[in-house]
Amino acid sequence: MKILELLVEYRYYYIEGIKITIMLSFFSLIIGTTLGGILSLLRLSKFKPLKAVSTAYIELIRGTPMMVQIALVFFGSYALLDLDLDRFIAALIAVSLNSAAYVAEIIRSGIQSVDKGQWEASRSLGLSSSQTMRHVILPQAVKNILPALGNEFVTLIKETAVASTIGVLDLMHASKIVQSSSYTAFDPLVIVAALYFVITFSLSKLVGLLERRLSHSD
Amino acid sequence: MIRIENLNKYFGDKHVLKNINLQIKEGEVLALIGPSGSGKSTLIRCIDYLEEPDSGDIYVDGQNIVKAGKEIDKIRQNIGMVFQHFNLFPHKTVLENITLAPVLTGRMTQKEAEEKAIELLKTMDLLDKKDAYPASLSGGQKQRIAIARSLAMEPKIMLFDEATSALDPEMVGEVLKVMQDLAKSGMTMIVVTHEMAFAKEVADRVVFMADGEIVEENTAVELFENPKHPRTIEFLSKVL
Ligand SMILES: Nc1ncnc2c1ncn2[C@@H]1O[C@H](COP(=O)(O)OP(=O)(O)O)[C@@H](O)[C@H]1O
Ligand SMILES: [Mg+2]
Repeated sequence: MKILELLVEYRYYYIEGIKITIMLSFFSLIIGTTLGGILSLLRLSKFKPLKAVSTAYIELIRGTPMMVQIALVFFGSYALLDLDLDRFIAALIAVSLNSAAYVAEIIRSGIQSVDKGQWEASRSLGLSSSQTMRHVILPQAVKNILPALGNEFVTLIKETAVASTIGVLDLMHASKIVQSSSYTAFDPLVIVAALYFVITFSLSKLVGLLERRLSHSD
Repeated sequence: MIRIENLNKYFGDKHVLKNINLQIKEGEVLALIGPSGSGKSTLIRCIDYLEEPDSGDIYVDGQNIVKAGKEIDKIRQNIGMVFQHFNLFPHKTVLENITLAPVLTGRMTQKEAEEKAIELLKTMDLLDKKDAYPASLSGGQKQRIAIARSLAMEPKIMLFDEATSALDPEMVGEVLKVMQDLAKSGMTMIVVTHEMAFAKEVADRVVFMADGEIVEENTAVELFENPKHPRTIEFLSKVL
């Protein structure tokens, strides 16, 4: 019953850690979605240079580990810009920039999944491309985009664990504290794995629910 | 009303429209027939600028749409297009499908657009469907709504790309009837169709296309009763 004892004894660390993990993931998702929306429109645009820049950005982010990206932002802001960034802020910036690339792809494929006949019908009625996007394409794309964004949230909850490597006080960091103060290596790992799982599993279920809701309203 | 001059269109290496020249007068109904793959859809899609021609000019009501730039949205407001697969907006009700464009383009107020929509739905005998979503409609109903959606913009020209090809046979009649009434009302129409009886009865002129070229064009009676080109004769012998 060592595990339960540890969980009870260090509950404040765990609760604080969970808060930070969820906040980091949530706000990164919000910022990432905003940036990702812009990136996806650039990527779908006909203007070649913008398309190239956003494509390059997306490929670069997706092709490098988040752990490296976080370290780059945290240590890079100090080394290059002489900025002493708060650890949480540094992680928030890195995770948001990372998430933006994935969300851009989610939005792009959501938009492209809408039948091309919808675009043609709308344009043939004389609507402009932005009116078509706003009133015809996006409302339909959202049905695919929202559940995928939910899954991205779940992914972020897991991946933000690397923020602990720059000292962000997230759930993973709480687990490390518990390990060192209780002189036990294994049990805290079981606990932290279980906690991550409970969070992501219940979130996934929520996403599933949302997905069914959206497909019903067809 | 429409003048097409030396129109060429390629898809990759494939020469899909070969130097097309064609004129359509106001109030004329033109049927476009020919084997599948001959370029009929591409031709009428060029008129709505859904395909970009590689060379040539297309004048609609005096304006060259190939050089229209941003003006194309305005020009398209005067051209209605009906697609084989209807392309109704699934997230909008029948009424919203019809009122969307007139309102967003500033042609009508919401109230005017709704009045117009209701009037159109009455003539199509579909008023009871005004709050339904497209998914709950039959193919014939969908296509009639799609026609109403185009007509709500009060276009000068209507283009039909095999409007009845995706329908169950028992629903073809109701859509052809709407198209026939529209033709009688004096609408300028280009109709891509496999319904030869319809073309013969309703069209003023028939154009036969094959391999990206206009092979023969004539009045409906002449082209069907007395085809001249061997390819036309061969095609008609298969479909009539
Ligand atoms: N988007 C496209 N990309 C490449 N080839 C196309 C495209 N659309 C049509 N084609 C080709 O162009 C030719 C003419 O097609 P289309 O105009 O659809 O003929 P029709 O309507 O007479 O059946 C066909 O060979 C078809 O395969
Ligand atoms: Mg076709």
